Amino acid sequence: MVERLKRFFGDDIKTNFIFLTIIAILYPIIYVFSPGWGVVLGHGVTWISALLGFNLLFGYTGLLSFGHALFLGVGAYTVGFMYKYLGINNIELHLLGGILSSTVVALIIGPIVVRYTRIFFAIFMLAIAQILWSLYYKFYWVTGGTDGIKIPRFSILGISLEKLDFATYHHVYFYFVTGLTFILVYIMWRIINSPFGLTLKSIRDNETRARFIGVDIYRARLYAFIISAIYASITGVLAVNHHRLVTPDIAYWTTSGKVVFATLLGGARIFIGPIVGSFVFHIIESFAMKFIYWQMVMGILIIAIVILMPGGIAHLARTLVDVVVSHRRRGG
Amino acid sequence: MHIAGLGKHGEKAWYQYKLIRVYNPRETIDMLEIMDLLVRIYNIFFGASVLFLIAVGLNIIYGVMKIVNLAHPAFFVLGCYTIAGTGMGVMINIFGSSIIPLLITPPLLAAFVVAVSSLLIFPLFLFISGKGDEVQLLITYGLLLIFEDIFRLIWGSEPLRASQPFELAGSLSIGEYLIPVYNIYVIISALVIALILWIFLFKSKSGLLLRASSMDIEMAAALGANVKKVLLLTVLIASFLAGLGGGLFIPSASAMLGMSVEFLVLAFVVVVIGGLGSFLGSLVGAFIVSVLRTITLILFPELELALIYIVAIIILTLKPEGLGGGKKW
Repeated sequence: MVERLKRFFGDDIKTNFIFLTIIAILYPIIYVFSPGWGVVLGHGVTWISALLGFNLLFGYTGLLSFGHALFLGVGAYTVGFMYKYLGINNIELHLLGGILSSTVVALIIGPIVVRYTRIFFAIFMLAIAQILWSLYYKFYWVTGGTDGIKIPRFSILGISLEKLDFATYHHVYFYFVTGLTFILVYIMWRIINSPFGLTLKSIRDNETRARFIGVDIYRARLYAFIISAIYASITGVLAVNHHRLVTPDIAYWTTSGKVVFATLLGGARIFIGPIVGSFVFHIIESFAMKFIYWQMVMGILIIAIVILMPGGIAHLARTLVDVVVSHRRRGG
Repeated sequence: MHIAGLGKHGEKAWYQYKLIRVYNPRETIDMLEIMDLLVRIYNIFFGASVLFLIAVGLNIIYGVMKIVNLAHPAFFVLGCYTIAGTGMGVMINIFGSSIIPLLITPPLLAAFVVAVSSLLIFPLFLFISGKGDEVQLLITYGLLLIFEDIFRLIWGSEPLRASQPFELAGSLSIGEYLIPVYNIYVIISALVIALILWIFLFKSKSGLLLRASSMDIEMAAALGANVKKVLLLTVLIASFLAGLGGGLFIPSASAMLGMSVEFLVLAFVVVVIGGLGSFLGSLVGAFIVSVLRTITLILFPELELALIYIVAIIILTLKPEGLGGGKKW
């Protein structure tokens, strides 16, 4: 029992699946009581992918990126352009397009930025994200500027969802994304627990030693960067299909801030961290959005988390279980 | 004066309009080429002055405390908002439209306010100095987010202007060009500030202590320097300079949200080009970035940041320690 509880809050792929399944089961009940919270859960499940990607880079490779909005923007505008210029609204093709375009972008940017670490990497990512944001914003005849690109409801495998009422449409969206997230979580789990994942962790923990035992640091970082980019762009694709509007906001630096914050909140370096973080973040956000100084709350919480609980919620839960268990043992 | 980059509320359009008005001598381009060059050079100096005041603070804090303070440009913007939001109105009440006090007091007031508010954050700086890079980056990033919303909380989200000194100072017309006198004042002030800072850093005892601590803080402490005092002095000077920059810059532009990140991105290029933690480097870097900005704003304004960053990456690849010669100070 004790071991099982500990493992539940530890690093185990089953925990992630159980957590996601619980949310998938709770979702219809929550939606019946309050559609608003159902939509919040929809946001939560949409953002998991980007946070997993960010955590691969930050938690497992040790590269802190302040510009992950860059890839969300790439995914989002791929969808926008695919609809605007090609009339495509199949979500499978959107995902494929997002993956391809983010790979291309990551292959252009990656070889340059992964040569640098720490502050240089962080700010280069921030700057490149800002450059792309300013391009979306300034080339309004292509991108629609601040008005953005409106896109219709997506279709799955050629089945159009236009005629569904909003609730059913949202359910289809939610379960589609949840299903996709299961796959993405599984793939990420395999990546992190593969020899390649161990290589990344060794680079994070001690770059010099990793180089000493013959690790090709540059290449490992570049691969991690590309995988991270793909994961982030998937969230971009899904999020604009959820909002059905592509605006430069998704590529603005505040979006990167959200990615950083949600991952820290859930727990960086812990596999389940981003998954928990995404939901908790969106729940807090929907409370705090009424309070317009939401960025300030986020800033204060980032500082508090870094100082007080560097492991985030996942780590907190783990310690709580430890404390309860040891207390019971002493009592018994 | 084309510093304000990519404003969200049509500010850019206003600047471009002004740019065209200043730069486009209608049909007489061939005749006025030399003048054109002069105006551009003067614009480069103006941009460089503002960037220098931000970047030098960033470098001083990095040099002594080994913190890359992402919130540093927010100090500069705080200076801008202090004047545009509150200070200028008060000063006009006091001084009316007499030009000299309106030129001198705003930067000093801004610098004072910023330095005082940096005292509030000082404990946090003490806490993170010596911690890992990730902790420093995340905490100063958190500060940046907090600052942005404090500006919104106090001064609202509309762009604010404080252009009275700029208008009162008038402009010189040379041929078909208009050169605002205020911008000349900013350039001269920045030069004077740089000179004073140089004298302080290299000729005074406190400056010596500061440089010594930046080279080996433990050794400085062992030799009897009050390190905490040195660190406090560092943060105060850096924020004072950023505040001065903000107070000087704001009459020729407008204060708006999102400016901190814009300037963070620019100031960082300055630091990359000049070399982290170098006084000379911030001068060289500010000048180069300003040259690049002025050229790209005329030729292809859409790609301004992109081109600057391409140059920065090239420099970082060829000369990782920066153009400041890689030497400290």
